[in-house]
Amino acid sequence: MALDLRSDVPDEALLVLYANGDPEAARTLTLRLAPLALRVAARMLGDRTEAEDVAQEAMLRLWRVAPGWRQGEAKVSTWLYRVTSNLCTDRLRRRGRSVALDAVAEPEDGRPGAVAGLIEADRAIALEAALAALPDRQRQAVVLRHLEGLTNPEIAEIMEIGVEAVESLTARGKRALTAALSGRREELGYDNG
Amino acid sequence: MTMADPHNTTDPEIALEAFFAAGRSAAAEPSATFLARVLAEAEAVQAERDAPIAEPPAPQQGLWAGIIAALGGWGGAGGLATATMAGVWLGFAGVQGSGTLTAFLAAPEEAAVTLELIPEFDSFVLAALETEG
Repeated sequence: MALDLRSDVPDEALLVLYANGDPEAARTLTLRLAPLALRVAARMLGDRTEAEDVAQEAMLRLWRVAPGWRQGEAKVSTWLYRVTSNLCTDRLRRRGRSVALDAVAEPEDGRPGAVAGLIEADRAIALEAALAALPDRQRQAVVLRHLEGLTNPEIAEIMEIGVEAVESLTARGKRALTAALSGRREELGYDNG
Repeated sequence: MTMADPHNTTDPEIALEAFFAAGRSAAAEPSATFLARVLAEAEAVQAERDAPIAEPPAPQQGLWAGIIAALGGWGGAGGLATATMAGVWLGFAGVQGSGTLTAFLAAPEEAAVTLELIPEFDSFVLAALETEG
């Protein structure tokens, strides 16, 4: 992937440059933010093609709001997480229920060490399947907290709920994941005591 | 986020963290075609915004609007209407001997050709004069 030549320029400033017609800003923002939108969408939907559609739609909305972006109100990444998550939730509702387990993609190769890599890939698939079985809001909170590495206040802003509600959602989500994955620990390379 | 070895733990929290770590490593990487699509839309939206505002199309011209325009606008049409009415008035009133340029031009030819546009005019004028008298 091409380098972010403006790594020292914050997203908000780049968005203003973009709105003013700077072509390089469009390129930099695409390289910086489209992967974020795609990652979250893929984790929430479990389907690569749908995730690309959602990420593209979220980015299109970003391009359109750029001229009216008010500095200092929200981080662009927070806004994008929120829009992407909401689009995913809409898709899941339309779909009826959450991710089809057989839609969980096989991870690509390139992991370190053949056996270790395969085990790691299997774990990722198992996690994705377990995430798919969670209620939408729990999955969203767990993905943002434990896979995207956001803080609870950031997640609260994205999900437009209180921090305590975020903590509750992630706690319940993790309990459900632990229960779902405990039966698979041995086959996925854990000694299990 | 390194904690205890997840391979040898009974702590579900630690074990779950190993799954999360695997999940983070397996994040979806964007393909070049996906990035190209997103960038193409970014540029399209940018170009749309930078494009000069198109002039609104001229309103459809009606028949009368076309005629008025051909006559030189409302001013021209008004002038034409005035001239027409003046001609009608002159024709009816039969102004004679105005003593101006018309009279000068008409003077050498006393027996000028008379064109009667309204043959009954004389009787009409006489009747009018009689009424007034």
